[in-house]
Amino acid sequence: MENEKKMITLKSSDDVTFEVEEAVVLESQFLSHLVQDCPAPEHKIKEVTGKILSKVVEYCEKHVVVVVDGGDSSSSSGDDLKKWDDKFIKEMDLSTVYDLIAAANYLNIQALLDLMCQRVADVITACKDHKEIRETLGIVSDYTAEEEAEVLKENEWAFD
Amino acid sequence: MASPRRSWSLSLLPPEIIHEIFYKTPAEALVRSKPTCKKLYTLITDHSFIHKHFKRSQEHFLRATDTVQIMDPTTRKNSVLPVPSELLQHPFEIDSLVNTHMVPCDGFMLVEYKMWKYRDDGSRDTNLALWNPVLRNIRWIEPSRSITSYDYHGIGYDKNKNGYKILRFTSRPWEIERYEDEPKVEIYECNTSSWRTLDVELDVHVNIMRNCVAVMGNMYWIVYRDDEEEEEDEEEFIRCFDFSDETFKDICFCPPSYDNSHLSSFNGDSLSLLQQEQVSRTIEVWVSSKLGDGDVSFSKYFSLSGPDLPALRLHDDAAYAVYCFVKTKSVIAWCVGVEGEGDKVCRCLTLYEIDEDGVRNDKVTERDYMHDYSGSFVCGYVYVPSMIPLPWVRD
Repeated sequence: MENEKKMITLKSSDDVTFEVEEAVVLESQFLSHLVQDCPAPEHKIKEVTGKILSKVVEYCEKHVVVVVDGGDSSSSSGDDLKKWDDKFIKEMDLSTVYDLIAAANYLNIQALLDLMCQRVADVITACKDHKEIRETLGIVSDYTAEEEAEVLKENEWAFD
Repeated sequence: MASPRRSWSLSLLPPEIIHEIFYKTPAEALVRSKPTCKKLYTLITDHSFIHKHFKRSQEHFLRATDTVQIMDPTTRKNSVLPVPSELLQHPFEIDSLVNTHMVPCDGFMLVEYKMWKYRDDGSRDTNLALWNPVLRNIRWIEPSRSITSYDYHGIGYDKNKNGYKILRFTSRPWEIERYEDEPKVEIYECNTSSWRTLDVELDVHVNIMRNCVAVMGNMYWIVYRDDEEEEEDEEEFIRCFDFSDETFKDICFCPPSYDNSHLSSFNGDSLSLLQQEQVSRTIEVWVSSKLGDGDVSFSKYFSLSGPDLPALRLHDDAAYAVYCFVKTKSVIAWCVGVEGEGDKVCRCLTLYEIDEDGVRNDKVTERDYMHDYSGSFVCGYVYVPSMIPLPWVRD
C-alpha cells in the first residue's frame, strides 16, 4: 500500500527539496490547486525558505497522519495533537513564528495560521506593560512623550 | 521573505493578520497594548474591531467581594484585582461589594447597591453604577425620582442599537399613602441620561429571581407564581423584558423543575438552566431554542446522576452557583461548598467541571471559616471581558 501513495517534491526558495505524500500537500489550499493544475513531480515555492518549509512540512505531516489514522479514537488523538501543537510552538522563536505566519498565509493553511497567531497573542498576553510589548514584538513607538502620557492616562481608572 | 530578516516586528504583518492575532488576545492585554504605537492604537480602539472582538471572546466568571476576581473557566486562571475605590467610596462608604448585586451585559456590570441614602436637598443619592472592568470606567447613574421598594434592574438595547437602556421596575409596589402612584416601571436612556415612565402593566403576583441574563439585547429572569390558594407545585417560567418594544413577555415554562434552577445563556442566542434535585442530587442541564425565533422551549441537553455528586447549592441561604459552557455537553460551575467537620467547618468556593460522565476536576478557589452561608447572593457572574466603551462616552 505504501508504494501506491503519490509522492510530490517541494523545493524551497534556497533549493532545499522535500519529498512528501500528496495528502500532506492537500493541507495547503494553495498547493492543492497548484498540484491539480500542474501535475509536475516537483514544485518550486519561491516565497518560502528551506528552514521554514521544513517546519510547514513537519506540521502538515503530523496533522495529516492524525486525520487518516484517527478513526474511532479521534478524541484522544485530538488531545495528542494539541499537545504536539503546544510543543511545536513553544520551542519556536518569534522570528520563525513570523516567517511561518507569512508562509501559512501564502500557502493558505488555516490551522497553521491560527496556531501561529495564537502564539503571538499568547506572547502579547504574557507582557506586563506596553514597554515590554514594544520590546518583545519589535514595535517602534511613534508617540511623542505628551501623546503617550495621554494614552496611558486613558488606561487609568476613569470616572465620570 | 526569502531574504533573511534581522528583526521581527508585529507592525510589519498585514493588517488582516494583526486583526487575527488581536482577536485571539484577551481584552485586558489589548488595553495594555494601546500605548505601544499609533497604528495599533487606532486598530484596537476601532468600533467594529471592538464588537467583533467581543463576539469572539469567551465567557469568564466575575466575583466581587472585598476583591474583584476574574476567572477564566477554561484555564482556571484567576486574576485578583482590588475593588475600584470609586465603587466603594461614592456615595456609600463600604469596604466590599458583598452587598451589591450586578447585572452583566456586553462586558458591562450594572452595579446595584442594596442601600439608600438621601442628599441634603432630600433627593435620593444614586445607588446604581455602570462599570467596565477592563476599561476601568465607572459611571454613576442619576437615580429616578420615584420612591419604590425592592427594585430590579436590567440593561439592554433595542434592535436598531440606538444606545443602551437601563430598566427599573419594582416587584412589590408600595401601598402606602402618597406612594401608590409612583411609576412602577421606568427606562433610563443612556443617550439622554434621563428616566422616563413606561406605561406597562406589571404582573406583581410572582416571585422574580434576582439573577438575570442578557441575551442579544434583552433581559431574562426566572419567575414563579406565588399563589397561596393553589396547592399545586409552583410553576417556574421565563420572563423577558424586550428592549425593542419595551414590554415584559412571559416566554416559556421552565422544564418540570427541581428546586434549584440556575439560569445562564447558551451559545450567545439561547438560554440554559442548570438544575439539581435536592435529595438524589441528580443534575440536569437544559437549553432553550433560539430566542427571537418565535416560540421558545427547553430541551434536555444532558443529565447525570450518581452516588457522589456534590450539592451545587447546599442551603437555602447559600449563594447561587454560576456556570457557563466551555465545551460541548459540559459546564463549568462555581459553587459554595463546605469542608471539614465540627469546629473546623469552613465555607469553600469550588469550581466543578460537570458533564455526562460525572463531576470532575474540582478546584477550591477560596476558603473561609465563617459559620453561615449568607453573604453575597451569587458566587459570581458570567462576564465577557470587552472593550466596549461606556455608552455615554462619545468617540
